[in-house]
Amino acid sequence: MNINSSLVSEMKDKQYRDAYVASQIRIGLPMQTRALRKSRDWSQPELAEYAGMAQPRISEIEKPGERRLNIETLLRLASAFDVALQVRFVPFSEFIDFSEDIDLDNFALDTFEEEVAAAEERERLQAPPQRFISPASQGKPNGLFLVAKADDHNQRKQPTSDDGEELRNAASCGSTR
Amino acid sequence: MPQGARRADMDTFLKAMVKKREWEFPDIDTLKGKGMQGLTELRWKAEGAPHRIFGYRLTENEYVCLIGCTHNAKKYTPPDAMKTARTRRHDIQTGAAIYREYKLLTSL
Repeated sequence: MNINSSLVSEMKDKQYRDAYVASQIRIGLPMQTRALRKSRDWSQPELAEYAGMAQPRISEIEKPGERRLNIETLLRLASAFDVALQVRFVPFSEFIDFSEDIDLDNFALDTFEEEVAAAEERERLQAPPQRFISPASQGKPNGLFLVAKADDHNQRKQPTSDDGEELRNAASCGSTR
Repeated sequence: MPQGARRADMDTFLKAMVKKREWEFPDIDTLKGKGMQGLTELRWKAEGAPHRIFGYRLTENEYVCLIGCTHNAKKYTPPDAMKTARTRRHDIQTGAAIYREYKLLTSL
């Protein structure tokens, strides 16, 4: 975010700032929905069927500013596309960067299954990866641990300020000791 | 509706349009009527009010905006928006008027 930009200058006006956020939902989300549907080569009736809605409603949803979109509707659309819906409070800098960078012509998102398949394919093509062993996966409580040295009888210990260097070294090596 | 909200919706709509290679309905539609050939309208709704910008494509990457208006119950506000659009296009084409680039608000 460039604080000297024309957008940020305009957003110093609280009214415009609030309106900018709302406009990304009223105008931006309908355009995202249409772009995502087209990226799947789906017709409006197809999306309507997957989302359990009527086609005229999809048509309205895709028109900028036509409908007030509520979370329930967005969740149904996300489920139909099999993508996640993220609703959270963020600083304006993050919001502006996302809003200004979005490319509707190339807006396509993988489904969960496509993501998993792609990850599995990447894993298959790679050499055996070095992995950290998650404490949680071993039935241990979640947290950040350093693996103790052999003369510590392989007991885990919580990192201390003195362990910072050891932790950084372990992280940069990409493996535990 | 607060002026800021109208501005923000228009800015967001136009910025999205500028980035799109292909413009399509319902974002754009052709205008019909005597003397309106070649003119189109950009379309979005802000707080329940359909908003329009009448204009025409100058080149592949340039669109000339002639007038902005709202459209309710088949009536435009201002009511002579179509006539103004025709006149302004004529003035531009004959050199009686000029156009300049509209600077969209950007974060750059």
